[in-house]
Amino acid sequence: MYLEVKDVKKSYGSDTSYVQVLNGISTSVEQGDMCVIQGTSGSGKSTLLNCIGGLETMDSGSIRVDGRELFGMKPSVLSDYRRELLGFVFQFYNLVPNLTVLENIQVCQYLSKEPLDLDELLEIIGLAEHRDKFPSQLSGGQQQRCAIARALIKNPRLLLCDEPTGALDSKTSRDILMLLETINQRYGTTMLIVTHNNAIKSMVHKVLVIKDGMVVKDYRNDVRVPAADLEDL
Amino acid sequence: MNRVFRKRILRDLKENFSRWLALFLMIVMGMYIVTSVVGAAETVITQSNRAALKNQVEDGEFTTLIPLTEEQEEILENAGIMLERKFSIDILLEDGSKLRLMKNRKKVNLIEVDEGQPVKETGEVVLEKRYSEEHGWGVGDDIKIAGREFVIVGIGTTPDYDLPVGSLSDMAAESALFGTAFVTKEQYEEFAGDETLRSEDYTYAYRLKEGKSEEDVKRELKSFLPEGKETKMLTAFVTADRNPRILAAAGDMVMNKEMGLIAGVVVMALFAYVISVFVINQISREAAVIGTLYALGAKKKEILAHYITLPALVTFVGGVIGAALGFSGIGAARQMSEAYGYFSLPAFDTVCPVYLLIYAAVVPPVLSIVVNFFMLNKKLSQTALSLMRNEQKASKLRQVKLKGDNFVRNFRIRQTLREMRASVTVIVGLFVSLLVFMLGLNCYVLCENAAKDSVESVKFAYSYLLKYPEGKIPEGAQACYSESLSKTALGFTLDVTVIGIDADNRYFEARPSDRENSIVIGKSVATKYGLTAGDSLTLTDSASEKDYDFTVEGICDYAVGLTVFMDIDGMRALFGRESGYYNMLLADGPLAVDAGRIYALTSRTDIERSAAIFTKLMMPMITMILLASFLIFFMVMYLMTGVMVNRASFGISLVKIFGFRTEEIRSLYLDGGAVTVAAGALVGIFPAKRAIDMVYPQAVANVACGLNLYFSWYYYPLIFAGIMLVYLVVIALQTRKIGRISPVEVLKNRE
Repeated sequence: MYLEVKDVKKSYGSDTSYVQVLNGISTSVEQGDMCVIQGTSGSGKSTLLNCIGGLETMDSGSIRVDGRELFGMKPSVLSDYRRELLGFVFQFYNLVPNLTVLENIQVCQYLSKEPLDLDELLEIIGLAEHRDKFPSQLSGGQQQRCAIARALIKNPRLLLCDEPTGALDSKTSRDILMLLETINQRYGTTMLIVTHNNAIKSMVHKVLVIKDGMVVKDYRNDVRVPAADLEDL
Repeated sequence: MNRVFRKRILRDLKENFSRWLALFLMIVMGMYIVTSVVGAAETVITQSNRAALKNQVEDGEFTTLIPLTEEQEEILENAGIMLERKFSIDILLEDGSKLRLMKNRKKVNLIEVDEGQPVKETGEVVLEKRYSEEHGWGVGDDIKIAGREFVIVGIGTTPDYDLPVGSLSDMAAESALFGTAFVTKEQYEEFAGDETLRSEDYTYAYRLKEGKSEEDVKRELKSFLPEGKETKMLTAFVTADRNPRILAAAGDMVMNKEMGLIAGVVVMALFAYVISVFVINQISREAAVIGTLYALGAKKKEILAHYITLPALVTFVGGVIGAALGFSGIGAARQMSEAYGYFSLPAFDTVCPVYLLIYAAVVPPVLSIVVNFFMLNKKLSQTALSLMRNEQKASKLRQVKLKGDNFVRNFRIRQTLREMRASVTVIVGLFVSLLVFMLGLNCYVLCENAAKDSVESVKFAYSYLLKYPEGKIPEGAQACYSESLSKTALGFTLDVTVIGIDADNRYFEARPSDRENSIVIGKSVATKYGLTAGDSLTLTDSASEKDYDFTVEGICDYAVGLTVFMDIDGMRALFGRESGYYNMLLADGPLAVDAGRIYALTSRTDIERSAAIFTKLMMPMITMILLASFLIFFMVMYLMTGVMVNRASFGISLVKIFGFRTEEIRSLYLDGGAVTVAAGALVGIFPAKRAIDMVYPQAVANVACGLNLYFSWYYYPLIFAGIMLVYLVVIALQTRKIGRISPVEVLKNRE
């Protein structure tokens, strides 16, 4: 398994403000899989993603990514882990406003010893003709493409996407999902996609449904629907 | 650093050009002032010392009642003491000024001729530079001295009259009234033989050969100049380091240099802090981006390096350009005009000390890096998620519960608490500018008070200091006994005049008792040395190396130079003079005193004219200091309120949508600052005055005047009103900025 999550627990606050967000989550993802983590708001799906991404620490349990155990990892080592293995895409694009598309991507290019070919990536991502534009000159979908390209340029083995279509309309969402699908096929990037969008689950290899910090469903799709054919996005 | 971020630096600069320009100009201005003041000081110090060395400045001088014999001079020469007669005759010119005539020098205190040539023949004269400037004389002009016609063949300076004062105890140099002139030996001897002229002064300058000391000179002199009860053969002995005329400009500049360097660090640290507030504001705006980059593996030190780079570059370039201006024609050279306009100095090339260049290039960026590192490090130590969510750690202060339902008042309090960092910066900036302002103001009031106090305390019209007392006191004159002693404080030795007076002296209000060694001190002595009744004061006779311990029994209003008063009989006894001895005559009009007996003649007009010189001399410096203080406060206030408006742009945009008008928004967001500024001013004005009063004695340790730094109470409300006026101007400018914020802003900043 590329990713193994075992009995992960995570809580916030104390006394009256105590909340158990993750309550013994266990799952696994194979290399090259696209996996959707679904759940209602407050179910703990983003917290799980953040724990896998090393942005938050778990109280107990184990997360192994590419053979590395995250539990107990020091912040500086976690930073190296993210640098070497991960790409992140968030609901909000968080692009540097006064850098062009090309430059926003280049910001992360230097983080990797073996980055992807920038021109090829721009072609795949569909931003080749917008490479010299600033974020304010792009649509929401184009900005999200740029954010995805920024995450991908490092050639990450694992791409973590937190509501990547959350701020986009239906058509643009489809375009973004098609892009993720293309990338998965072309580069074999393992992907974890947190979403509350029910339609996405049919396009991925694996679905994980979380409720109240626990896994309620964990299954593989026998038949996958291409992103282009998804309905009700 | 990531090379892509380097591109961003230029764009950040362009986007916030006006803000960075303002900061840049502050740095340029600050470093220009520092380098020009310190550069001028360093030039004067270095070049004065070089000129003194080149022109064989004396190691000391002594004055005798009658000239030494040739044998006595030979004894001294053989003892390794190189002598140069610098005999002089003071001649009153038709314009009322006094010219001290001397002959050419050969070995010691050589004349440096700036213009023209040295005197070679009878009928030629070289005039001292400042005196000729004040009178508009140049090479080739004719001048009448004691009825004889002379051609000015040269304009120059000598290292023993760096400060061109007639007497060592003079409070200030007034070159319109006093100067030196040099003629041939033969010409001088002709003057010396003229009995209608004032008496000749027999001063010898000496230079010591290796291994010799002033003690050797004194020992030799004592061997053939025994102390007598009636006559004191050795009337003065002053070593160069205690002579206020020698290297006076350099001494005056030492404090400028030190204060300039310290002030530079303080002001640059303030500017660095101001910059850090900006950068923190920028980081807050870009927190989500930074958090995302952290999530993608970027490290804190990389992000920190990026945010520190632009301030470091701006401060570096600002420092270098400030220094370039400081060393240009409008910098140190102009600052030196203050010294050239007062001291008698040869033409100096501006010195460009390496340490000052390094200081200008290194201090601003290093302070910027250090201050920003500490300020930003904490901000950037947040986790990626925390930054992405732009979480603010709510301090207890910000969560304070406010009583009452007054929305506007409560909003203002909340806004002030939210902008605590900017408010603190404004208060610190205000205090620094107040310190600078008080420095300038103290400079002004000291000059004004010294002039006013001097003029007010002079009751006589003429004062005659006699070399040989008349047998009988001239009618209408009041006889006194004067001795010149000295006191060393804060590294400077200044002459203190002790005047012995009768109980019925009508020219001085002091009434010293006949108690042994009891004195009444003038208020200039009291303020200069911090003395009050009951204190003791030790003064030194440099000729005999004898210390005199006095007890202060009171303070009188007299403020001309540094003067103390003693009962004349007690003073005669103390200094070994016979009963009835006097050497000073005071009168309401001119006295018919034999010119040959007069050592120095001072009129009230002379004192009034020289009293005004300080203010005239210091005015350009005072103006620069006051302007700098205004600019510091204005810029800090403007930049910090700008940060407040920027940070509040989302809220301002929102309340605009609600229908608030610009004036109402200003009232909500900025008027709370009025309380901050008013409180800062009220709390800061008095400590700033007190702090500068405490350090000011150091700044004028080399000036023989009192330290009356008092100014009237109404200055305080005026300063306060000035501060509030600057505040109102800044707020008016920021209100225009508020007016330009569009309600659409709220839509752009959905997070």
